[in-house]
Amino acid sequence: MKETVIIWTTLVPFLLLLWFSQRMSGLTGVSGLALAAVVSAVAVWFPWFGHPLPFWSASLSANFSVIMVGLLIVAVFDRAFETGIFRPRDWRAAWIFGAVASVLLYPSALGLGPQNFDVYALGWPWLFWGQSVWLFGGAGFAAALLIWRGNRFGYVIFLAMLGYAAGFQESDNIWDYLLDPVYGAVSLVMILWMVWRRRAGGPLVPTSEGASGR
Amino acid sequence: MKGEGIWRGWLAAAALLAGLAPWWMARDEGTKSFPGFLVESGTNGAATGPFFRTLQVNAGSRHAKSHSATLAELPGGVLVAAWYAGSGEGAADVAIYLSRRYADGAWSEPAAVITRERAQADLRRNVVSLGNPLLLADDSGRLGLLFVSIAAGRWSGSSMNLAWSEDGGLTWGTARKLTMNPLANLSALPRNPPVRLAGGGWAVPVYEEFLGKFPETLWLQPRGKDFSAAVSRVEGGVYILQSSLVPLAPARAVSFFRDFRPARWMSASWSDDAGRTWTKPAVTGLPNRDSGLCAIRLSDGAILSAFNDLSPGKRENLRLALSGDEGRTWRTIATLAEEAGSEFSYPYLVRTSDGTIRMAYSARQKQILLAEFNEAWVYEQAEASR
Repeated sequence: MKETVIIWTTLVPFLLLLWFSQRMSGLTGVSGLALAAVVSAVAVWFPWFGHPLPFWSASLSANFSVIMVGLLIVAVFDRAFETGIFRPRDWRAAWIFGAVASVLLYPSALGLGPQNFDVYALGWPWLFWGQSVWLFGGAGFAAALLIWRGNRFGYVIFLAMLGYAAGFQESDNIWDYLLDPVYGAVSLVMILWMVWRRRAGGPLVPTSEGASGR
Repeated sequence: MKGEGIWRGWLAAAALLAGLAPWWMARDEGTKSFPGFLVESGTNGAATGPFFRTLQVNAGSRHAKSHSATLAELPGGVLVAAWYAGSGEGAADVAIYLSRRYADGAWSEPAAVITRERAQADLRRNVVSLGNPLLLADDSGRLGLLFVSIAAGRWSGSSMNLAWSEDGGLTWGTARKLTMNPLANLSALPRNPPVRLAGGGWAVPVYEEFLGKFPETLWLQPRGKDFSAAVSRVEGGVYILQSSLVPLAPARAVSFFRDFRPARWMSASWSDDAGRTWTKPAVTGLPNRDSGLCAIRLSDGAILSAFNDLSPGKRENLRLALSGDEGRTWRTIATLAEEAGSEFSYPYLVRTSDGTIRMAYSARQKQILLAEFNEAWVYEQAEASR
């Protein structure tokens, strides 16, 4: 097991707990963040059913995406410092990216769609050579376009690309750096919520407060 | 504002380059993606005349369940068998057992080489049980072991792991998890023999058994002292699994599938591009009622298949069939085992360097049996069955 995977499977439950404890406590600022971090760190290393949370986190998945982790970090910092790192359009880009990628990837991974083709196979660095280039290049292009247009979600995609180049995760497949079932499911729910809000006459996108968890 | 625009421009360019970086870094590996199968063209083992014998590998076993055996030959003709055994399928005490055959023909006492506790410590995650092992032996004597670990539930909660032994299976290095699908890496299992690739890699027939049930190929390519893994789809949907991959030429191969459709015929796919793409599976003339099968290429290009023929019970017999047309049509030539109310299952065929065909299989999912015969015996049976 790569050492980076241990870091990753520790970081993900820690950030999730941090985010939840911020929401539950209502604390903000440095002191709030520090308190939530201490509580989360204790909970992460507490032996739940004989093992700390990283053990159970790895059991569930060792390949939580870089993008999900990036979004969690943004949400945590936005709540702690009210910095508004992500604006509504940045969140909207994140949910659209996650929803589109999920619709492209998961049905195929379950064996649906064109029977003898798996979209996930495009994510291996060396297997389907000609086609894989389009996936790598496509992710880079999406990041470049968003950054160029001033959308901050582009930086998160860029980080995922860098994480992939560094071989940070257990997986060698680039899809696992860009997407995971949790991020995909949340994205689909958020897109449906946005559509419902629009049909109900509300704004198309959530406010920065709502989207960042406030 | 101008400074921010310049920054954004640089970062956008960097992001574009990052997207191209993996392509550039792995550009040489792309040429190895589908390097072609190694097609065995060894001796037919006919020098000794026709012979057939059966022996038990796990004699004296007290396990309620022993199943899914795999075989490999090490340099010097040492035969190694592995299987999983325990109190029941999915039980916590299931372990991967391994036995070696000595020069005098006796099998070593089976040793538990991977236990649930060992797998849990190696993988640093929850393991509730173990399953299907698969041995990989290369010319250097290095022995690989692919095995299933179940994180939760039954087979749909399984994933695959890889460990290596430098001493013929006596001791094993730390196992590592292979990522094979994006849905929490669940539900990947091996079953049938791997095929060597030109350049030192392996093509391993594997299958998914989550919501969809379908066959895939695990590609293992050398990367330093280890292997990089990638998976490609053979067929999707929910009707076939557990493919048996038979190379016919470096770029041509056929895969046979366990088929659980009501038609009860084994189906097959062919590839003409070294396993990159496969034809739509077509039914063959060999019966199959949702049970594991295995096929192997003989020295003259014919294909020998071990399968469960139709019977009142699901797997009450185990037969051999021969095909001379790349698996399109078959003729049953021999019955290896048959007993009403019993079960003979999961045949695993290999041809060792002396030309002998060796087939491991489970009897009543308790005994691991090994049938040994040569091609002369196969053709004697074929002649007798006319």
